[in-house]
Amino acid sequence: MCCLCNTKRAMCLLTFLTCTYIHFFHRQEIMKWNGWGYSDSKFLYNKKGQAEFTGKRYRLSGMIIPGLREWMESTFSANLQHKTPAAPILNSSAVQPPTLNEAFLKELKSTGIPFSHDAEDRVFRSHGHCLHEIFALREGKIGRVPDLVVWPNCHNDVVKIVELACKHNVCLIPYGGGTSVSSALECPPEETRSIVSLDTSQMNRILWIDEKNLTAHVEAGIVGQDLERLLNESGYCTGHEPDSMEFSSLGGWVATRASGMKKNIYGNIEDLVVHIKMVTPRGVIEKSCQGPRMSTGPDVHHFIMGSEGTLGVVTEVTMKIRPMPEYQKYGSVVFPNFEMGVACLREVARQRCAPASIRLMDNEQFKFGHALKPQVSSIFTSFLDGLKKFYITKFKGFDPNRLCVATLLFEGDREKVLQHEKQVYDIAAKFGGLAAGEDNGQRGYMLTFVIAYLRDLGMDYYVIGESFETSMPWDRVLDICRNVKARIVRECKDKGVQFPPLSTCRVTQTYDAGACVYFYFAFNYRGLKQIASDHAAREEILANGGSLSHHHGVGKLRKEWMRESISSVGMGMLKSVKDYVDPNNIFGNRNLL
Amino acid sequence: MASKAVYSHRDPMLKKRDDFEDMLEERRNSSDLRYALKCYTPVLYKGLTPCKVSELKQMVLQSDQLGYVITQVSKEKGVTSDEVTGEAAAILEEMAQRLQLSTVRFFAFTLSKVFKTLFRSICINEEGLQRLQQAIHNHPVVLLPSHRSYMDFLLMSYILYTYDLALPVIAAGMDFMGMKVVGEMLRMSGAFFIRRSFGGDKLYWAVFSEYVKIMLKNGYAPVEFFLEGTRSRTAKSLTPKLGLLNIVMDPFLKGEVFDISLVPVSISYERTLEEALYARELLGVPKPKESTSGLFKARKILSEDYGSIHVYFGQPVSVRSLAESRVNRSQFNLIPRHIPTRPSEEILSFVNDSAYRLVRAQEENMVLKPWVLLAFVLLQKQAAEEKQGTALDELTEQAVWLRDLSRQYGAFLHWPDHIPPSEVVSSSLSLHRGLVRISEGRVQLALEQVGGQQVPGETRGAITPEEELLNKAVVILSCASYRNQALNVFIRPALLASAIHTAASNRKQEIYNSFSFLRNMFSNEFILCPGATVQDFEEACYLLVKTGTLQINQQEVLITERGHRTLAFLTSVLDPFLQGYQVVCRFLCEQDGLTEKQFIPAVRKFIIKHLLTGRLRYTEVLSSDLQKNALAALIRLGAVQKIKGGEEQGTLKLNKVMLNSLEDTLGGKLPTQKSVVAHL
Repeated sequence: MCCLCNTKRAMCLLTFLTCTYIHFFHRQEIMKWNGWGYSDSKFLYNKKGQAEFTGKRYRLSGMIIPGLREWMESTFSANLQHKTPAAPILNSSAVQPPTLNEAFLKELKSTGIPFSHDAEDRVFRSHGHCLHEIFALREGKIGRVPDLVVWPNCHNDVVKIVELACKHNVCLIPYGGGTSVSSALECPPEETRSIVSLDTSQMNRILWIDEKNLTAHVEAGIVGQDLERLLNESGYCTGHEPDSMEFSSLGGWVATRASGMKKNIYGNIEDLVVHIKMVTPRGVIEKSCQGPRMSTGPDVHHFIMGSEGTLGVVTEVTMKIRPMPEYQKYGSVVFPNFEMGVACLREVARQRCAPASIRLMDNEQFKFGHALKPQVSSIFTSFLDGLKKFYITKFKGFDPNRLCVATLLFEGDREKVLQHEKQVYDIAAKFGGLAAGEDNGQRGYMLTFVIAYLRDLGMDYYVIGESFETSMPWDRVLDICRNVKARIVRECKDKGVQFPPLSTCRVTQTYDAGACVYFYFAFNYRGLKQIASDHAAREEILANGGSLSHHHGVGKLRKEWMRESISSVGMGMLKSVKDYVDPNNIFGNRNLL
Repeated sequence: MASKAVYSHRDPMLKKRDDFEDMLEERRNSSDLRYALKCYTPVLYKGLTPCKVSELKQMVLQSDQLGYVITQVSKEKGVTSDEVTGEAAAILEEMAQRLQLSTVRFFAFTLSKVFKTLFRSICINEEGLQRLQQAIHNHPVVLLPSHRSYMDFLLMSYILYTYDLALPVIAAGMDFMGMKVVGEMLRMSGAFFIRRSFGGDKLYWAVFSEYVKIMLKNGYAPVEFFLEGTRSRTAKSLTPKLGLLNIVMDPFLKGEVFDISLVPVSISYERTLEEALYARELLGVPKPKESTSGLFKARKILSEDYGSIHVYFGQPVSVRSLAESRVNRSQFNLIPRHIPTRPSEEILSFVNDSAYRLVRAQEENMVLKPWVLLAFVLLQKQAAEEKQGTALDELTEQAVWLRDLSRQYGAFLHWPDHIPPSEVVSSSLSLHRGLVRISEGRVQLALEQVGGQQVPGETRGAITPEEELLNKAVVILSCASYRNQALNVFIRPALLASAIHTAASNRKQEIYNSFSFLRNMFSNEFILCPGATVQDFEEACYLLVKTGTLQINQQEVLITERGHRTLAFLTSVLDPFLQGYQVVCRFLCEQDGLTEKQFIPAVRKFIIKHLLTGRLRYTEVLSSDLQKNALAALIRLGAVQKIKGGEEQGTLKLNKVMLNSLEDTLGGKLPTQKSVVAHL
């Protein structure tokens, strides 16, 4: 536990969390092996049949959520009587015995680097968090898993491991936070060599902070929340806050081209990185200086960023840091409909005045957010809520089935924040937007962290869900949102899903030339033979001019569309890099290409 | 390959069709006024944001698409963009509909009166309307009725009003606007007017396509237009025009809507109002320009019995499913969608195949009356010069035989099975008493007295042989227009029968070559989707084998004992067309210089001469429709070349060697040569 979390100046995510360092060797001791997040934090229906979020880690922890049950029952026609409980503990006998490369193992022992071939350790590192991965685990189905887990402690340990792997022809799969949603961590079933999961969690130190240049040199295994917390101690932050930052690691961000919620101020990972060190079968790759920009041919960092563990292991990264912001303020705006909301976001982007974060939820998500309101403490608050609702729907004539809400986060000098806030609200007003208070905004961001827990609750009651993202030019945002949502509904119908699915989206990032959109879908799968995937939805996205991925990456889940996305020549370029850097496919997770 | 999806190979007998209800029945039993003033609250598109006619125009004028073209045009012409915008606004003004419920109510009232006088019944498949209602709720809808009469679009709106369905906006030809009052009334009942040709006019095209797209995308109203482009004077479906279909599919292809429903509607008239009018038009008496006074003259029509109308609302066709695994929609990803681009080959062929598929869907649901079958028999007898006519019982026997055959081929035949066939035949004959003459139990086409009837002022002696021939031809072409209604049922088997007839041997390959030649030759004449030769051949083989006419093994095609009658009938179906195309070839071979404009009058003269000397058997080859189609086919095949531009603009350059060989091949004198086939 750490006391820093109580500081008022803490980063926004940290306000939702009490801190826990999770870089244990055996993470499964505090984290779920077949679901999201911490073992002690989960949604459940208590004896009264009310939804409740357990644990103490989040703001929502220990609270009753009165609206959730009704929302779940009405949205999915789910029934509390029909349960689909998960297999409670891992049955070690379901795990194949490890294929060990004795010679490798012998030399590894002599290096003193810790390792394990315990079934639980191996299974924990065999998956990310795609629906099908978690679904299989809950059913107790376990496929190919790594044969060995190693925990290097520093860059040199990694160099040794990679050398040994090359020498003994062992397959290496780097493992950071395990939050992949692209099947990137799945072991290729056709792999016959011994698979070693290289867990970077012990490489979690900030090696130095350079206050003159505002950079920090950090080991790549550090997890997002730890990085922010440690930098906060010195009065700094990176400002990189992907939704997974509780668990995802710096190396993972680099390897997948991650994007953070506050990229409008701090930039995405490619803007934040100054220097990268990566260990490959050919040796170590790094640049010779830390110049802020170079014209030295194609930027080799861009071969590393997004390489998804196919070329090597990122061990150390120099990142930009910023002084912690003086002031933070949440906000929210209600729009009469999604179209107006998107038009407003577009205008904000045109004027280049986007706050640290601006997100637009569609009507379904707005209702969902509403259902997740914890029990209000006083009659007065509930009265006030009623009044607000009355004002918006009756007085302003907003249709409760069409309105949508944007959540905002401003950050910086107090004065500037207030000025900025006014500018944004003025633009919003032109698009019929009504300011809807800080609470709504804050709750919106909190949901980001608990929504993943909610999927586990759904899965207890025949409801499965998945999320995916894309990016597109501004003029296609509405079309893609509409068509993809409709495609999901149609696919569910065609596949025999009995009740209409929840199919919802939100615009999560704005750029000069376009936006990033996040989709969720969930449905009741009772009576269904097999569970659906987001395959058709991705086809729809690509057909409508959306990208294959904005920040989740390709992994193995989206590999089939790589060629059409980047052209055959582009594929050839990437392949030739792979062939040079890793001719024996030591980094054999088979992502991307 | 691609057209596999267009023709699904299935047993036409298994086609499931809805039942009909007569919508006039209620009109005869309750007040028309109350009906015209009834509460009208149709189900609308779920994504609709209601807007006014004026707002709609503003949306068009302010659209990015039009804005782009306006800037372009103003640069090209060196005028200000305000001027061009003004021009666009004027075009829009001329074009736009002004749908008004009060006008619709007026029409509802008047048409009720008119329809009750003219028709015995107007039968609708109500299930189709239910499907339509669902479709309108879910997606933007395009209504695609067949086009045989002026009546069609008034009838469509009348039906939709009656069943409380959303009223469509209808693309109509500019010629209607000539009728001052009526034109405006049609506008107020939802018609919008398009110039017949605006080839190079970018601005016109932009205004027009944007206007249609905006109404469609917003779900403002179902958009209705005629795939065939114009009324078919022959009652054969016309090869589809692609312009509007291209426009209405565009919003889906570019991702602006999730899907679009195309609803083919088949309207069949037991007796066409324009029957003799069409025949005379085809024979070269120019069609009267649409005028309000002309319409009133048509009042004498009101005293006649036009039987019944059947309207079948087909299964809505989803553009999305048509395009699935056919069109790569991501081709639109790299250019802003408001910039007009020429559709790619892929898109054009997709739209073309879809158009054919839709026209075939219209054809399949056309209701055929027993009279259509009688027309087959009577025309064949006439051509065989059986002067004394056909005995009633023989006619009945042949009609019954044809009834069974056409049903086996999947025809949507309304033959009342509970009534003895002889009564069915005689009641059909009596409805069409203007075209047939019955004396002493024998039936034939009413060829002789027609002249006297049509031109009462003149003495019979003044009639030249040429005039007499044309008078005869009016009856024959009128009759042919009924026979034509069922041609689509027989066309593929008929092509096969003729191929068997002309092929030198019974080798399957040779027959296929011959089939392919004929099919290609006639693809301007009948609805035969380009590139689907193999499917059509297989379909024809399937039908003829199934009905026991042919036996087909690996290599050979054999005619069965009882197959001869069917084959003889099928060959005779195609015969007039074969002869017509031959005579067109012959005519062209004998020409030296000829322009496109001169073609019809000259070929008509040539044919009249040959008919009078008795060298031609089929009077119906006088049809200008056939002649135009033949010329179009010859141009397509390269036997005739149309010179564009220059002093010789419009001159036809003739490849006489090829024309000669085509004529001989059509006549069966030459085998389907490799060279000719290769050419095609």
